[in-house]
Amino acid sequence: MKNLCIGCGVALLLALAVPVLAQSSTATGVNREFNPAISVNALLLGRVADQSTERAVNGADLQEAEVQFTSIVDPYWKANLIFAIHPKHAHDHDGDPDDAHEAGGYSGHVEVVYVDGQELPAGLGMRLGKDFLPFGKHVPLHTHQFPFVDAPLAVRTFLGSHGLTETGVRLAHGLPLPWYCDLEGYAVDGKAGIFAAESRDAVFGARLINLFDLTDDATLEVSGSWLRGPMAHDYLMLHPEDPLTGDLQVWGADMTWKWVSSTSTHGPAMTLTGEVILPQPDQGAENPSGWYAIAQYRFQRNWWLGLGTGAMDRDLPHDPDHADEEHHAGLWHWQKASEYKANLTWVPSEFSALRLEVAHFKDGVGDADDTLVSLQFNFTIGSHPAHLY
Amino acid sequence: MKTILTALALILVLGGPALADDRLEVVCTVTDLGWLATEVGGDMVEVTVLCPGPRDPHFLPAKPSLARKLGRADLLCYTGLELEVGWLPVLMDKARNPRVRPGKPGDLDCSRALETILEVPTGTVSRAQGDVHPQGNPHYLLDPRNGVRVARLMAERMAALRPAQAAAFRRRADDLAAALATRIAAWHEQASSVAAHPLVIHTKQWEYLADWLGLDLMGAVENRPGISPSPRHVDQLVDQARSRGVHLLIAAPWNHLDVARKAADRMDATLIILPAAVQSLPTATDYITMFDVIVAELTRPTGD
Repeated sequence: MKNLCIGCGVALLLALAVPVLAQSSTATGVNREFNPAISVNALLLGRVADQSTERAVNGADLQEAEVQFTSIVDPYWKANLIFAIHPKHAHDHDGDPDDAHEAGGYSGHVEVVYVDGQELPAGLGMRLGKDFLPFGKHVPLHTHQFPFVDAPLAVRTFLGSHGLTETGVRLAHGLPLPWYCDLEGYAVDGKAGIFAAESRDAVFGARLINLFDLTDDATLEVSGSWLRGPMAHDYLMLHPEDPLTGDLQVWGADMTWKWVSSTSTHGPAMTLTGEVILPQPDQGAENPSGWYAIAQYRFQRNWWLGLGTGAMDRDLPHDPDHADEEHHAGLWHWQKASEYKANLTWVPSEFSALRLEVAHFKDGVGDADDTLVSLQFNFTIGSHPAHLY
Repeated sequence: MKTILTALALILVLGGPALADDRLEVVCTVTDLGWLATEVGGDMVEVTVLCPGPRDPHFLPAKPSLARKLGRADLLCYTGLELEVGWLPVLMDKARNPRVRPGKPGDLDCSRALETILEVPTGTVSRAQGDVHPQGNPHYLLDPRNGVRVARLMAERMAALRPAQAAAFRRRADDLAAALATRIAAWHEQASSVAAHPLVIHTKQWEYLADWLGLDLMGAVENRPGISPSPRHVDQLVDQARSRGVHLLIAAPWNHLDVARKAADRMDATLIILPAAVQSLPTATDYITMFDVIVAELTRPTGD
């Protein structure tokens, strides 16, 4: 009986829908011609750790899903909006025990929403809205574009583990040089984890990209980045009794050599990337630094091999709750943490990939070394915009 | 602040479009269009091609240096039907050139010249079918009659952008059409003997060529574009090809030739690598020699 009712309901809806579809959109106002392109990208992750027993590390779950809308707004703007969904863990609640019971579900947020100017003169580029900051090679990547399951250790430690997305204005322009040279500057709000913008504070930054065509198949990019903004009171996860104050300035340099064989579709390809990150906080840790190096090689039509390593050095208190006392007493210790990663990725089409990865972390103190084995599945449906070079 | 503003002003002034000569800056996505634009525009245009001939135009790496070239364009000519969808939108964003944005006079989707678009999907389009083109097959320049149509379309657009030279553009397009018409008839007659025999192709991109020459394309090794063929499909295709006496398997230079060669061997067929674009093979130096090579290879006695 229940099925019969559902069937009658569906038939009634269809009967009503036919005349609606036949009507002019002038009268109905229902026109799908201007709908944005929609796509969904999802990352499923299964992972087991050698040492850690945290549920956030072990187990299988959605790593992240992105729902993307892209469209031309009018002759002057092109818009992009990405809504990201990811598992809710206890650390999402800033350690508030009252919220801990919510861990285990999913939370969503607007990761990116911006418009690009389409009619600007003299080759000027302008982006208004919220987007990943153009700092280095890794920060601008969406999770499904990462060469490994997680961002490099130095990026996670010094630039935040949740991505560096901020709202503001970005201006870009090519410089008149014999090679491709693009300068981008920005002024944005400071809401990401590494910033603590208050009142009228803002974050400023710039990136200079130089790209040289070595051959028809190979390019070399040598670029530099800089940003400056009000430092988060707990930058580098320090929790001194007196919150950190002052500005955080970060310098970065990166180099990428990329080669894609022109002889065959999906033929051999290789990318070598190295990046150095140098934070200069006004207060707290002294002269921290980090780097990573990544090699990616497509050795067969559907197969990629990835190797990566990286390290970071920073000055840390033994007990973050007494950081100031330790700092004054000269008791902070120098931490040299490092990581080593390898993965094998099967890419049967442009729209899916299965990755097996092994990552080993050495925390430098010796009590938190760990090895993680991950299996990640990545798929895209819908009309997904092409990725940058 | 004054220093910053001065620097920005300097960058804008220096980085603006260089004072060009009177020639129309034409950027073409593929070599076939580049050749046609050069023929139509002559010394009144400066033509730049983004995708080199030997590279598969579906998968051009969107190098920023290409965006720099696109940034100088007065006219962008592209194949359309989503052939370049994997890289052209990225370059357009990076190029920051309002003159060639969609809807502007400098934007020319050359597929608008077509009278017939082949293989426009009917019914549900799904990526289970592989990397299909939902607006139809974009490899229409492998029919030289479409080359003529595109040349005339280019001439009209160039004329609109440079009215003082409109007559010259149209005259050059007419001359090209006349020259191609003679060759088209000769190629068609030369290839008439091939029409009687079924052919196997490696990847679906020869349909316009087949439509023009009346070729019988029996099947494709890579039956779902962009997806590696399953062993079962290849087995079935080999059996079918052997039963129908297929002698030729056609592939483009950038196809997976080891897969094509194995399939051809199993079919007792000859693998021939045809230029799928101008300069995709050293012998296909221009649009005319490309068809010379295609027809010569198709009609070459097997075993040579």
